[in-house]
Amino acid sequence: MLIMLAIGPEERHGYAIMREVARITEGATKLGPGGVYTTIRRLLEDGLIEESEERPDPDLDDQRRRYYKLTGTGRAVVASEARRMESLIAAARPWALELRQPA
Amino acid sequence: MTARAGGHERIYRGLLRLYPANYRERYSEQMVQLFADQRRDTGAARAWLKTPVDLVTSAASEHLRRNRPVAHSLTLQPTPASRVSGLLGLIAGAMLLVGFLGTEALTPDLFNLRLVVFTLGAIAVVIAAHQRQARAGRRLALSGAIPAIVGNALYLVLVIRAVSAPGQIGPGDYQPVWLWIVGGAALWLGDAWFGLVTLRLGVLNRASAFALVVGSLLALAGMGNFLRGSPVETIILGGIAVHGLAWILLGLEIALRRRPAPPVAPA
Repeated sequence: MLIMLAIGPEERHGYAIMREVARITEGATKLGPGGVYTTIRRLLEDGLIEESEERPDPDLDDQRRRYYKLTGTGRAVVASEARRMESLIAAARPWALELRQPA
Repeated sequence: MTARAGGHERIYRGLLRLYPANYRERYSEQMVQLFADQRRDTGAARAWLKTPVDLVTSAASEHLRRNRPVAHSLTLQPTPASRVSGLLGLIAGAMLLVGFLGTEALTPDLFNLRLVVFTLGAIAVVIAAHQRQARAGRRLALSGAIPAIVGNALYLVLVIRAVSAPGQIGPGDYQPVWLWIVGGAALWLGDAWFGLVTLRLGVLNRASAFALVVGSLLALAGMGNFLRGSPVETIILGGIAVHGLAWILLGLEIALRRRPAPPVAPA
């Protein structure tokens, strides 16, 4: 899910995904190349992301890079998961706020 | 990139041997590129610091994953084509087992029809299996499928050629003998190689793949060496039976087991 969020509406390569994951988790999750690509492989197999057919301009970027983007199913899964988490947060908010208040 | 920097990437590339070959084939260049980016931005020490844990955990996960043919929550029912292919494979295996009823009980036409159905079913299963296996390793899957398809197709052509020739022939009474030896060897070796590749890729059940390898090799060993009533004959017939069972199991798996969802085009 984190990697799908990190890809977002963009097309991103592995390193950009890795940096984005670190950014959105405020550094709590730092993936390595192995973690990134084993997850990418699973998401590709599940049809949640796909490799972009466009290759970077050789003058601007390394040709070895592969860019990934969410598929229609992937976007639907992210939206559904976001809705699910929103409803969980909504359910937790009343008593979670109470917990914050001093006894 | 300096020679020293290139050295880091060379060492990292060497460590990627920890991953399964099909994974390496697809992702090693990208992983080396990512490692190089990381080293450039954070420094070599930091890049290397997390590498051992990252490599070991993700490589172990990939090796374990190879043994779990479908480990995804998003899977689809087999397509109608898969179901038909699987059913043909099941019938193909059954045709080999029918031989144990005694080939003497079969008329020449039924004997040859049995071989035609067997080779067609085997080809159907190999094609259906290849569609699933290509996800795990395109080249390896293709290298497994082609010899099996060619071997079975060659044998099919030989049977059709034999029954099309004028005159009555008995079961297995084909000429010229050398051509049938070549056809039989191509069939058994092709099936054995397909079994080995299937075993390696791990997309389909490994027990079926192993049975296919063992059965094919025993059948190959028995070509032209059928000593009636000897233990050798029993072993070879057992091999052919195992071969038939392997096609039945593969056929059932192709026809019934859910498959990973293919990538969906963006809406």
